[in-house]
Amino acid sequence: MSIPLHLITGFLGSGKTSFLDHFLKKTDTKENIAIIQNEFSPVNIDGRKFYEDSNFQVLEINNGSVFCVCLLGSFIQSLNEFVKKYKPDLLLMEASGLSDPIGVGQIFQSSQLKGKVYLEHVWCLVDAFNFNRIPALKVRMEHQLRSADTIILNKTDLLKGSTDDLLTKIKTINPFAKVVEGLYGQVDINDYKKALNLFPEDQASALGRPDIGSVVIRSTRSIAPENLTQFLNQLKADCLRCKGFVKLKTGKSAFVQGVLDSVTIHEVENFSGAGDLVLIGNFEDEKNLQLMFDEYCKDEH
Amino acid sequence: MLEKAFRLEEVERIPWVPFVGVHGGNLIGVDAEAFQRSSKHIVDGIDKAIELYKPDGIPVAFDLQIEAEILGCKLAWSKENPPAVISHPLNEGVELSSLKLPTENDGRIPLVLEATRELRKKHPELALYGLITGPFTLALHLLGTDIFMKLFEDPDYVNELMEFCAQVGIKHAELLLDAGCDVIAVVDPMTSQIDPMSFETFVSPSVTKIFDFVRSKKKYSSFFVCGHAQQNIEVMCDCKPDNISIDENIPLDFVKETALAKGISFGGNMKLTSVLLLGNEMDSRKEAVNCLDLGGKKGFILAPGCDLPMDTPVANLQAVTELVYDDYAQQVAREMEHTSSLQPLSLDGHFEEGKVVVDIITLDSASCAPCQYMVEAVKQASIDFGDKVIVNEHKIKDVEGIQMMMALGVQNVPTTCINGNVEFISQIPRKTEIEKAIKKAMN
Repeated sequence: MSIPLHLITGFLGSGKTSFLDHFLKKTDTKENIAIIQNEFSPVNIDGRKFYEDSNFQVLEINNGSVFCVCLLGSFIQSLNEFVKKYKPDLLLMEASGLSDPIGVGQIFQSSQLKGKVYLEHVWCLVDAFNFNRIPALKVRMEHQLRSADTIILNKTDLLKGSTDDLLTKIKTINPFAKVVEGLYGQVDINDYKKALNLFPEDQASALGRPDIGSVVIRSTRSIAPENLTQFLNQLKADCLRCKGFVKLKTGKSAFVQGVLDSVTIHEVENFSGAGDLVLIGNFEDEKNLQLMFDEYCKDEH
Repeated sequence: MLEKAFRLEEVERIPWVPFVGVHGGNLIGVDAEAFQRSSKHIVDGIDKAIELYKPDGIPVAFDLQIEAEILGCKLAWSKENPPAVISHPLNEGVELSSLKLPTENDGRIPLVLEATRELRKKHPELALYGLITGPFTLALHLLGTDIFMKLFEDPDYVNELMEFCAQVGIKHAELLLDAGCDVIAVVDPMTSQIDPMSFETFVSPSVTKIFDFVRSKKKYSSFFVCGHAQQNIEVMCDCKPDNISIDENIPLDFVKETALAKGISFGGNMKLTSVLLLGNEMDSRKEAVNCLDLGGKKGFILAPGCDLPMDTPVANLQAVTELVYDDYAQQVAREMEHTSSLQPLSLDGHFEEGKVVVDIITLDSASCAPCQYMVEAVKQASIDFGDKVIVNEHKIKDVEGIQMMMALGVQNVPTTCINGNVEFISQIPRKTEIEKAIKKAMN
């Protein structure tokens, strides 16, 4: 059975660890949740103790403060061994504040993890008070926001005045994510999880969950709108859900979102950097979807 | 070849520089920590990589923690990765003014210098890359993530720190050049976090000094970044390195346009995780030929996006090597580019009872010499068997040829299959070998 992974992102000091604590405390206790965290993240001691007392298994990754995609290779093996040993129902991964959050999703295509772990949801914490204080980091923040399914506005109590302005800015960067306010990252977890569930509970018990995987397609290339449609059609039979941004040959970008065979493509403005498209489904082993997407980006396809 | 690329001269074959760091340890069966703590292991691992991957240039040590360790950062060692910095002295009460520039006797510098001298002796023609930690990444190691707040809270302090990090870089570069390195690569991945204006304010002045220094020594320099750094490519070029090297997060054609317009060579950007680490040989060839075609023969160096993961399959990198040296392999990879949407051909009715079916997958025996010899050799060897042997050529220039290649599970061209089994790959077998294989299939 495949294990869903929730990624918790957000810049330094945005409240990722508080949200993680809240998630663990508020969630259904029958679930066997495991945590993936940077060994050297400045986690509060209480947090660590709480994990231990509550028997949450923790996989520590040793990447120091500088997290680089180049280091993902060795993580494949440690994650594989970890899930084999503890068989969690859900994995919560706290990304380093400087990491390229969705890059980690690429490793779920490896033969060791395929069908075992998939990227289900990306939560992004935003420090409402400091959001615009460091213009130097604008590019990185935008990328984190764009990769998110749910954006949580934290530290709104420190903000003088309303959050309207901030919400407008966030909506410009990612008009499609859910945005919620939550002091100390406290939002209603169970409601969100229900909405996310790919398999209604009765169906899950009757049929058992198929082995599913997730694929992250990252591309700096642009694709013709008709080729994008063709590409998605090609995957229709295998893909349960897709979501993300891609660059279009028209000069604009597209937000792609869909469940099973109904996929919508919205054109968006104000886009910079590489596009990331996350696909969840049951894909053939031998196909490298990244290269397949690259092919569809070519004019002559 | 590499020098021509640095000078933006047209090349016959695009040079290739695999960034072998701890992957070198994997090649000789030692873990990352042992590898990076021994000059002998480094020499052996890089030697092995040179033998396997026939590069035009190669880094001696890909490790961005060497300077940080000397300056007091604690490291956490790992068996599969370079070590990680886990403490930041300037954030723990150490004064910037108390930090000293490294010397040839400090930390792991002596072992890298020794490895450089040894490799220089063994491979006089090969370009050795000496890597130094870029000033911004080193500053982040020393101060921790507080540096981002300090960029606007205390810019003077950040500038002072960056100046110190540049001096560390110049000193380290000098030692590496004296030991025999030909190229200094300034590796500054953390600059991808900041915007061009902050880059110009804080990074450009210090990093430009390092490139000026390398130029004064009449050697070449390269500026490595990884991550989402597209916004900074132009300001990076303005720092006047001889080369810019990037990863898959930045479009190669964008870098090409920007760098060439500024008279700078460029390199990259084969996908590290999704292709080189997790893909197969055919995926790696397709990716490499894509990069070669985008990069072109002027000023381009083929390289992976970043330090190769330890477990990158050797076969994938050898497939890239083969492609770099072989125009036919490039043509084959190009032909294979549009295969993702194809299904393998059905083999129902393809084989006949009592007969041996020989399938040769070729680019086209009329235009590809190795394919021609393979087809001729097989036909010659089959003559004596009369109609008991059926020989088919499948050209991958045709869609059906590609579908047959997929059906037979063939990865290389030319390949000969007998009764559906792959028998001879790329090399042309002797007549007796082919006859033997046919006889075996008859029984």
